[in-house]
Amino acid sequence: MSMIRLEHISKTYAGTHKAVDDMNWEIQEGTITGFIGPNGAGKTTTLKMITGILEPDKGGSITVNGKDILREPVEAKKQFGFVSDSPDNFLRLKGIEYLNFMGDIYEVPTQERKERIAAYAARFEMENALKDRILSYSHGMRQKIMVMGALIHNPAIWILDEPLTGLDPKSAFALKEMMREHAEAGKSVLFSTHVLEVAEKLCDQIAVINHGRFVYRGTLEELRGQFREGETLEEIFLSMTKDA
Amino acid sequence: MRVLTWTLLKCGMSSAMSTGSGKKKRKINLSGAALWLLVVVCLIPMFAMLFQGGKAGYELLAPTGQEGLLLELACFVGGIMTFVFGLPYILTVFYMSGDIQTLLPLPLRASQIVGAKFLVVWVYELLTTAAILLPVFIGFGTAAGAGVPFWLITLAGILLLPVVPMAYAALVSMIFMRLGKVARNKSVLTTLGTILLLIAAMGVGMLSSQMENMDAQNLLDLLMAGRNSLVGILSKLFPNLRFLVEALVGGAAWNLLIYAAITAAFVVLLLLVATRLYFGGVLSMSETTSKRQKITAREEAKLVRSSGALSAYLRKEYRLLFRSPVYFLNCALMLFIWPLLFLVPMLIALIAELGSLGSLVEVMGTLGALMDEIQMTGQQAAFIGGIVILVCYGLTVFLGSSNLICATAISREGGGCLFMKYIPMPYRQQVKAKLLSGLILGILCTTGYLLIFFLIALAVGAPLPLPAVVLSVVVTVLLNGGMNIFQLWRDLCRPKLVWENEQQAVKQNLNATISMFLLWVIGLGLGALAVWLYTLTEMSPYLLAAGGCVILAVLDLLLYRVLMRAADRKIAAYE
Repeated sequence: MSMIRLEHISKTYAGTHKAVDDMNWEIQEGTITGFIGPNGAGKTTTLKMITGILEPDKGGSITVNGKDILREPVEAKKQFGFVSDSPDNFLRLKGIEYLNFMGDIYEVPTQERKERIAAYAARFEMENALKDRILSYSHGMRQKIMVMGALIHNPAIWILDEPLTGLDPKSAFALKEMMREHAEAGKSVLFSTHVLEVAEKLCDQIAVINHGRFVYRGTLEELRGQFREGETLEEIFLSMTKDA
Repeated sequence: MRVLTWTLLKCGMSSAMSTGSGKKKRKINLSGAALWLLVVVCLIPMFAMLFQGGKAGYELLAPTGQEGLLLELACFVGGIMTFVFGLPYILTVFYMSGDIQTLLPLPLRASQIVGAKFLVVWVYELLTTAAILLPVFIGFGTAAGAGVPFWLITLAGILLLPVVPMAYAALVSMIFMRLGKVARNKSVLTTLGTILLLIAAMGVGMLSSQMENMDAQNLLDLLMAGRNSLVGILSKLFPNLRFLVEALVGGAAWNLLIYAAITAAFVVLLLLVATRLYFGGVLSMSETTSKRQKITAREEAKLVRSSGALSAYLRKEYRLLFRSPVYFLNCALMLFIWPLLFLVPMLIALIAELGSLGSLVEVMGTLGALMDEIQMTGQQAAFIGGIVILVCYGLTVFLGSSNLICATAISREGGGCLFMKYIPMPYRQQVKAKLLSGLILGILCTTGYLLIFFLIALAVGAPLPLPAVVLSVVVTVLLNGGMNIFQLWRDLCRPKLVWENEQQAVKQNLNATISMFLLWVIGLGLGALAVWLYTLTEMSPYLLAAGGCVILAVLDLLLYRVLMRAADRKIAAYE
């Protein structure tokens, strides 16, 4: 079953610049999908369209766990947890206030949210920081609290824009582990990254985008099969996006 | 320093002049010019009133040879306004603006940074001062048939006028921030400190302006002496003002030089103090305190519990508003402290005038007894009731328009506004929460305060008709509703989402200013219409007010519908 489905999705900025061009994409349940591409390739635009931040050009459709993001936006948004690339939000809220706010927005019952906050705080070593304002957090801690907020309702789909940026090795490991557990539970993770090693080690599927179009979608093994033996993922990536 | 100053000025100004989200440059420049034009058009009634004030004031005082008193009064009021509005602005520009983190590592002296920032603030304060004083001076000069020297001195005078009050504000800010260096919660310190400083400043202003040390005979002698003998009596707070006024009313040219020299001395003093105090205060601003403690079970029970999305969103709005000094000082401060700002200094001045608090209580008692004896007819009572309603109306229009919570509710989100788009909460619901944030505070700080005043008035035996109290409450609630909806709708349609620091989102937000001016014009128009209808038909003021309430309620409903429709369309279009 596809958790995310994009059909004929395009996005044109200022009437001329086509950031995403006729994209068709299905992300299956139980998978971790890495979304790779050079700067300005269309990754963030795509993620923003999936999450309802940007409206695609007319003619296409996006469904998230069976809900159309344009027709049933509120229901569709309940299906995913999204971490944007900028963690500098709500800086004057305390960590715990932010998490409780997210719990209210996603209608998480009190007991469940307590348990999840405790569990995530332990995994990310944030127990001693929740009482402080986010303003006093380091970049990595801000990233962690945003991840915790996005996952507070235990969404079926995780959509993460550059989630590992700024995380210390231990927290990065914890997040990757959580992503794997989530996929193994039959749910999906879609994340964008520039770190090819992460994609290589973590992803079941990868999608490479360049100039708003996919240049590759599939497993890493299949990708390697299309190139010379012994070539690193970095070399493959560079050769696929050399005209970027 | 010149290069730095110019660069800071350019950055500050370009940010202030931009409106909207920064896309479609050409279109926005054109609409930006149209908005400026709209501001000027909205201000025309105020300019006309000030012009008439200057003219009439001259005609009233010139026969006694005391026309200079008007100019001094205007400059004094301008100075106090510059101080009151400039203090929060200087605090935010000097200590909380986004560029500080960039400037601090550069090899710059404190006096260079302070000098450049002072100049940026001066430009803004100059605009406000000129908007208020120029019409008065033009009215005065026209009535006096003044020659070229008067106009030249006016220009030079107004250019330098904001400097001394700003220097006071800057000095007070620097001393305050240096003393508060060790405070743990800088946001609370800044907010509370600003409130206290403003009240203290108003008190000092009142005391310095009153003619307490002069008995009636001395005052009369001075008045009769003519030749602007009263100049200088009004304000001791701004020592340069009397020299400007002397120069304006035909005194020797060296008066202008002394005026400029005193102004320059204040700047030098400011820069010297900055060398000693600025870095100490500003460096501590970047320190954030954290407890790094685990949440106890008791705290968890209090902090983690579910509530409705609307109330959670509203709480989030308030937390961000009250905890960001820049937002609170610029959007809500006036609303909160207006009774303190005007009543406390008046009380201080009154007590000083009467000698003691006991005398004031005595006077109040006599006043109450006097009011008890007044027997009014029904018509007289209705007339007084009408005036009460009109005063409440005027006060609510003025205060409600300075309530910028809704006027900047979307702009304050900045780049974070995308959050509004990916959470599973309908846009209308989010806009409702934002509307409530401004509306609740607006009603509390206008209707709520007015109710307290009514109770006090009734306690001292003032003949306050009950229908007037009820109608005043209804009018203020409905007005708050309409004004907040209007302000939020304007911000929703043209939010300023691209900004580098919080101050630009609220203080340099032209949309908020335009909303304020538009509300003044609409409020003044509706108020004038009510008075005109009363004089024309002589109908009962209560009936008129009740009719006004119905119209306001219908307008509120219509505006609300417009706002909700805009919520769906406009937020969906934010990118």
